[in-house]
Amino acid sequence: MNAPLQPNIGFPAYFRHREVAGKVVLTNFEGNHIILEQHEFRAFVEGTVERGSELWTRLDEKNFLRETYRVHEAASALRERKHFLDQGPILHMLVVTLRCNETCIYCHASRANMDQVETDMSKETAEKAVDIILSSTNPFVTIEFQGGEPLVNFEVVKHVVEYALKKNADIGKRLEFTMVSNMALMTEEKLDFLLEHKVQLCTSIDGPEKLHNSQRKLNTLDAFQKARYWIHRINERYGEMGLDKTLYHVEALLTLTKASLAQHKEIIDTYVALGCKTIFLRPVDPFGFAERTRLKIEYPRSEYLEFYRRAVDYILELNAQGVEILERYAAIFLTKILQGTDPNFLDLRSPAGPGIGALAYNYDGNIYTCDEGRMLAAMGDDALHLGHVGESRYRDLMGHETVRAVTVASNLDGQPDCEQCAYNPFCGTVPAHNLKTQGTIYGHMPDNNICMVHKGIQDYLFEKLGENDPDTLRAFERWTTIRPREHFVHDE
Amino acid sequence: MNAPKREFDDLSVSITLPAETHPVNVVQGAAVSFIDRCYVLMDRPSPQQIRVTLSAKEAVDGEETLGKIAEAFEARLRSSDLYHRVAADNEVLTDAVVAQAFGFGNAPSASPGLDELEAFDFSDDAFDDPLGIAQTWEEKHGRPAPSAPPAASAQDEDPK
Repeated sequence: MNAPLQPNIGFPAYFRHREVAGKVVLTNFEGNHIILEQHEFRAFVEGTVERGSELWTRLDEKNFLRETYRVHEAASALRERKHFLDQGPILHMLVVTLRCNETCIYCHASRANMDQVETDMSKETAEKAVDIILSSTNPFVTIEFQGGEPLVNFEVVKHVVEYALKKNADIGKRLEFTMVSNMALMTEEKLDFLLEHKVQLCTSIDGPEKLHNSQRKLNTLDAFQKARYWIHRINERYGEMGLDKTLYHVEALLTLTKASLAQHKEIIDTYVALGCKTIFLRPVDPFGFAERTRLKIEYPRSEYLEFYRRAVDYILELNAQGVEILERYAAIFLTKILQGTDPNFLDLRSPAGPGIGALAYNYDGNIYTCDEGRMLAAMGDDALHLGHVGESRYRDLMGHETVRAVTVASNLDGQPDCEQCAYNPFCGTVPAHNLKTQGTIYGHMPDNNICMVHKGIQDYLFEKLGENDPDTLRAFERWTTIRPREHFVHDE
Repeated sequence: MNAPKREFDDLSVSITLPAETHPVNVVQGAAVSFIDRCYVLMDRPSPQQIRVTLSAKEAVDGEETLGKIAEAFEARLRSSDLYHRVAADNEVLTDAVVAQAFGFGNAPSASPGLDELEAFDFSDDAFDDPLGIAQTWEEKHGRPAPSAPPAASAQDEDPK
């Protein structure tokens, strides 16, 4: 057994550490990282690193030494990491209807049947929502059409796009529209409008045809075929418009159920075959489905993490063969770890995005901190309800006690456990998830599912970084290269 | 740090630590990470001692398993102690980093420009203010507003 460490307080600058695969990952206050062998870590903590040695130089370059700590450099790095703090909500989710033409096994409380027209957003409500959206302090706003299935209420989608563009002509924000659709109700006419108005399109693919159609059910039993047809058709249209197909193509969202966990290769191969360059291996959310369904589709997070490792190993193999596909969770973390900036993924930042980074507008005009807040309300808990488009002003929403509470609760520097965690600079927690699963927006991190997933993924990534395999490092570098899709931005 | 003292019963292990060498925040920092596996109780059997009792949530097969939990806790305690000592030693530096990163003087992007200030509606109420923090002294305490200072008399003017 090794002798206990004899710390030389005064030698190290502020750091947090975590053992990963026999090595030690250290992060400092501003989020630099270094991976040390155990004996190097001991020398660092005990202050026996020889000045001018290779280890000294590595530690100094990353600003881990108290004696040479560069405050100004650290402040610049920290400001870059938290660039989102003074911006305000960028993402505005508009639930234009709860009606949906598909019946998904994991979707319950957040959808309505096709005859429930009372769950359609009206044009008047939509206009009021847009008025609030365009009063955001953020100079860049994204309006995301959600449902239900947004194509069911396409008239309101069209109205929002036209109204927002007209109103924004005076305001001058950089404005972007996105739509998440199962595509089954897409037509050439609708597509013409969406492409003409630069609405970015995204769909859902759960994996190969059999898996997808067993989880996402259309009356015609061809949900996968319809989605595949429109993915190819839209990509074709992007090509006809002269857009770079490596950048402009339909991406898809994946819902991982228990049945998915045994099919990592099949799922990834399906995405590659559909022309997707990104796959987001997120575990299923605990929202929107009944308890008996949960038992059928949920799984322990340890099983998810085993799946994640197998899947990303396979993605790295494909990358080494020249196939261009990345895992989105990894790309988000790696951008923070390797590039020192924050891609502003709202569920993975500190403080988290709900309220100060995003707002969700339900079909009836009620406003929530996030889409999960809306789903919680559908399940009887309106804790994350902020107001109504007919009554609330932007400043009411931003100053709302719930927004303040979720912001404080999701600041990892105030979270026991996260405070000392080496992954603090790269991580985030989700207040709505914590509330749903643990009864408090703060959550209890040591037995929090999201914390376990985030730690597990970062353990995997740091293990890979520590292995120094050139193919892996090249792939990781590529995954963190952000290429903005300027075509979709309205900034005229 | 002085050596912790362990006591076992059928379902739990209690670790008693000298309070003088184990600040409460250090012990809390270690104890909280066990709430996934154990029910955790912290108390003070005497003013000089802090005791952490860890009761396994799942059945344990005797002292050996509880001993491993105690070992893991003590390792976590050393880590928490290291973290807090390094954090305290560097507090002046980290405070300076935060001040430089987010202070107005160093974050020009956070400061509104003159055009934005001119267009800003200051008459709009920002937030509910139940404690009256945003109110003036006169509004809050019902005092009359101070009268305008008397105009300077001719005698006060500098002689030309």
